[in-house]
Amino acid sequence: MTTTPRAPEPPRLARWLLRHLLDGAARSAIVGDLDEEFVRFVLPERGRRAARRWYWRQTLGSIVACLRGPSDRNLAHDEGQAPSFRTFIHDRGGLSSDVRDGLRSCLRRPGLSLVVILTLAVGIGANTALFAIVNALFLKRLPIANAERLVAIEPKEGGWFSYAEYLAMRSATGLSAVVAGGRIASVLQAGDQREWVTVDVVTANFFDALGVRPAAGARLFGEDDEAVGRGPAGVLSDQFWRQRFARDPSVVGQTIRLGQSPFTIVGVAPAGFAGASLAHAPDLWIPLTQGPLAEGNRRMLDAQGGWLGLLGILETRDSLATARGNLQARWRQTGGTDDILLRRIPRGLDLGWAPPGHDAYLTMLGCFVVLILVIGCLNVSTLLAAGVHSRRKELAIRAALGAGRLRLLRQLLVEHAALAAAGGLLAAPVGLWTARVIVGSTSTGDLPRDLDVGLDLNVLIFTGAVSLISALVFGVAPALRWSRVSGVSVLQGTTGEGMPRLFRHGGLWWLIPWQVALGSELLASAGFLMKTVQQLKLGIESAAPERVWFATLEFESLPAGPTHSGDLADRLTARLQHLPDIETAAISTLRPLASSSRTPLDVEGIDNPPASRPMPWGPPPPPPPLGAQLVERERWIVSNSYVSPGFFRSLGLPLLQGRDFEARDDLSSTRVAIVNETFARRAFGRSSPIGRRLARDAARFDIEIIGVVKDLRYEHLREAAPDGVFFPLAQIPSDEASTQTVTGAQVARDLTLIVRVRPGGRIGAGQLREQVAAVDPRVLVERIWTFDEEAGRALGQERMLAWLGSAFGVIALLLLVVGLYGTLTTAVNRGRRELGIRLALGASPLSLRVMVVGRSLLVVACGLLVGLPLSYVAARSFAHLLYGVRPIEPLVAGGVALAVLLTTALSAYLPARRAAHVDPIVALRVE
Amino acid sequence: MKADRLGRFEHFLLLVVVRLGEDAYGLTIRRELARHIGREVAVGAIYTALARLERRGLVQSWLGEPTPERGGKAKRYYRVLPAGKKALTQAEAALVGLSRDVERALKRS
Repeated sequence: MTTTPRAPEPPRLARWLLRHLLDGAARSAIVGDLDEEFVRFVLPERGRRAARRWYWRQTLGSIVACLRGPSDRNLAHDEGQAPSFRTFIHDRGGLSSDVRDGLRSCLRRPGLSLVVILTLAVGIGANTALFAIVNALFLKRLPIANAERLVAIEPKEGGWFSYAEYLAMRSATGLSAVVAGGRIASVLQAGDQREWVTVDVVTANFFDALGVRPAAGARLFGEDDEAVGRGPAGVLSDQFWRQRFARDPSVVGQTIRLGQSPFTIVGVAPAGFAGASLAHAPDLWIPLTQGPLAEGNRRMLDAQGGWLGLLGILETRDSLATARGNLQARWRQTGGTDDILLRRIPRGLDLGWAPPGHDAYLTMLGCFVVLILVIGCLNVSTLLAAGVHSRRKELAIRAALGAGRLRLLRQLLVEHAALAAAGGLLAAPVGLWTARVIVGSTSTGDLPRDLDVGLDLNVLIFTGAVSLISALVFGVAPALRWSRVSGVSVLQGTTGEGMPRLFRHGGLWWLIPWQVALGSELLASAGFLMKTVQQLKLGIESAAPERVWFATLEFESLPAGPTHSGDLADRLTARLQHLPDIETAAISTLRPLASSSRTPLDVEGIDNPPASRPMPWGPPPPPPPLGAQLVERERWIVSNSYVSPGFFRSLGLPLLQGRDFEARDDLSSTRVAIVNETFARRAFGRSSPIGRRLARDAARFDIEIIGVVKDLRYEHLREAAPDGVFFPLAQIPSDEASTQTVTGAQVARDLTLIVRVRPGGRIGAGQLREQVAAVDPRVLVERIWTFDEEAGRALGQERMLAWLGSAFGVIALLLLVVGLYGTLTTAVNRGRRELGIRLALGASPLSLRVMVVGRSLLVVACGLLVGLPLSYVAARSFAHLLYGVRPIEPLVAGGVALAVLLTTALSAYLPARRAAHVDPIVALRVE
Repeated sequence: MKADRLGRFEHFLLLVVVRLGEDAYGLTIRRELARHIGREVAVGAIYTALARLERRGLVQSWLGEPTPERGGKAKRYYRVLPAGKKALTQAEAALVGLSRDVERALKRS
């Protein structure tokens, strides 16, 4: 079969639009001219792409020009299309002529159309944003080939598998592949820089089984890479590739070091692929058998305990039962006692990561976006209804000429659908942008930061549906009003409804109070959230958090325990204090607001701790550690941290009694502790705790309290300070200086460097790295940040909600201005006669002004009367998101009421002035 | 005589139609106009303006033969009617008068 090269044609969609949106006669000439010019001149002169662009510009320009001009049917008779009078009015071209007329009428009133479209775009966009997140979390298909046959293999009671168990189960029948993976941490060295990275060690069939193709590089690793001795291979995640290597394609083939061993980067995984954990992508993947090289832990593969997660690909969609039976039998043989569970992985992500409170956050966001859309729709309704007046004549003529009510309705609905569609088109990009901002601003762990919120079919369908629904919601009331316009009375020049009263016929007045109610609810919620953020920040205010810098100190290899930590702290803080901008520096195991630990201990002379205070807002206190219930006597559960001298000064915490730790408090001297105010008060009441003794091991009271320090909410902003006990870093026991990883490796516990700078001072990450490297090159500083930023992150959800709430609240106020102004202007225009009569009968202009403004205020006050109680209900239902806020906050309620009433008075003023300037003679002569 | 007054765009259009003579239809009008005013004009805008002029009796249009390169669509030709020529003359006269005054004013200053 031979194919002749097709001559380039004008864009089809553009021609389709021309055919359907232009009137009959002009259409034929325009399409002919454009086609001829396209082929004869534009294509040869400018080339294919520019010519197509030209055609599109001409198309859109022509459509706008033709729809804005008078609909011209004079041309039609030339082409033998003389329409009968009936079809001219009734069914001229059916739906496409409705669309044409709808667009025409939108373009004739560009101001109104623009306001309507923008309003809808905000409402629909906000909803699209939230849906895009929900979509990415719950609905999207995983970016892997066999998603519908993918199952997670799990013990029924939870837990993981060992490598030996994987080997036994990997060739089970009913499954075409079984893959295993576990997560470890390793130090990566590429070039000069070393840093901790998360590595997923996965079986070599991982990428093949999941059908993942590389985004860069020729391949991901396969079966060959399993062989020990072959140069170990690594695959980068897209995010790590972006962050660390700036998407440099030449990174493929380079050699990096993981732990002590060289690895070759063979490829980059595609964006959005997060691998076995399904939520957070690791930085890179390496073959399971090479894991020991990266972790420096030879016994990793022999570990008895489980540490691997298993995924299986079913042979067919129905082979689940066979696979389970076979896996069960194989697992039993290796000593497994539990039942095996095969769980089909639903679309989207596993929600194991969702922290408590997350639901409330999404629900509140959901309420906000629905509210703003409803407010938008109400406002559009009000505006369109107010526009009835100006179009009465047009509609009446149509009705008088025989257009039925249904026909008018259809045309108006089409017009509304066109407005909503334009709003929707604008909303999609706005929504996606907002979604990315929301994902980026939530605190770590709340939403995966690499969450792929992109435009897909789901989002498009959702946006389309929301646009359509809002068109129906805002369109029905005005359309019903419109189609009821009485033809005869309009043409006669009377309204046919007796004397119009100012607030009865100006528009849909009853919609405005609802708009006010919902808007004031939004504003009040924003107020509550802002107060929450402010109240929570008070908890750390005393530390001057903007001057406190944190840096993580991570150890590449296991250092020698307490003496090392104490020594490191001494030398590092001594060095740092020489820098001009630095006031004090210290090292601790506590990272304020991020990590802390608890320990049980006894207090000499006090048998049982008092019952802990109820915490009305926070989550319940953590359960006592395992085995605590076996001890007969209850022990104190305290927050314990190991800190170097200077820690309290660095956080701006004054010592209330006693002394700070000093260099002499090391392993060779008495063990000492400093307690916080809360602990001192609860344990010792008014008597001084100095010199009292504590015991970590049962009844060996060998720790002496040497000081009391002021409280700080360093654990959680929402909770009062816990019972806190601090020990010197130089006395840290060896078993607390290190932690054990899942694979059994022993690694040094991370420490945090806390630096307090002088007012106005700054430090840089590079500067700190230099100082740390000079003291101990095995210590890595990954990043630095301030206490203020940490608090900001911890308050991410609250701040996001406060921000969105106030943004939406302000938009609601703006919409109120537009809606009120439009409605009042129409009302005043319509009520000129009434106003004229009042003036003629002796009403003063001032009293008319007062009347217009006063009645607007009355209508709006009705809305407030609904809205403020509503905000009380909302505050009650979202109580756990709020803090330090009473459901009835006079300041918030007063502020909202004032803002709404002021806005009302302002937007009512101009129409009121016009009302007062009505000339009675002119107004009465009109009729 | 408000009916005969020409807008700037209409003025240009009439001039172009006169200039093109026998060959004045959508494509040629659009290209000629674009060449003289130095920017692209949407062909739809030209037809809208011409339709307005036609209703005012300043121009007349008729259909030509369909050609294959136009996808079988006929050309719509335009010519200027006497009323149109009169309107053009008036507009020209107004322009000339105005610019003469301006020239004088410029010389004096």
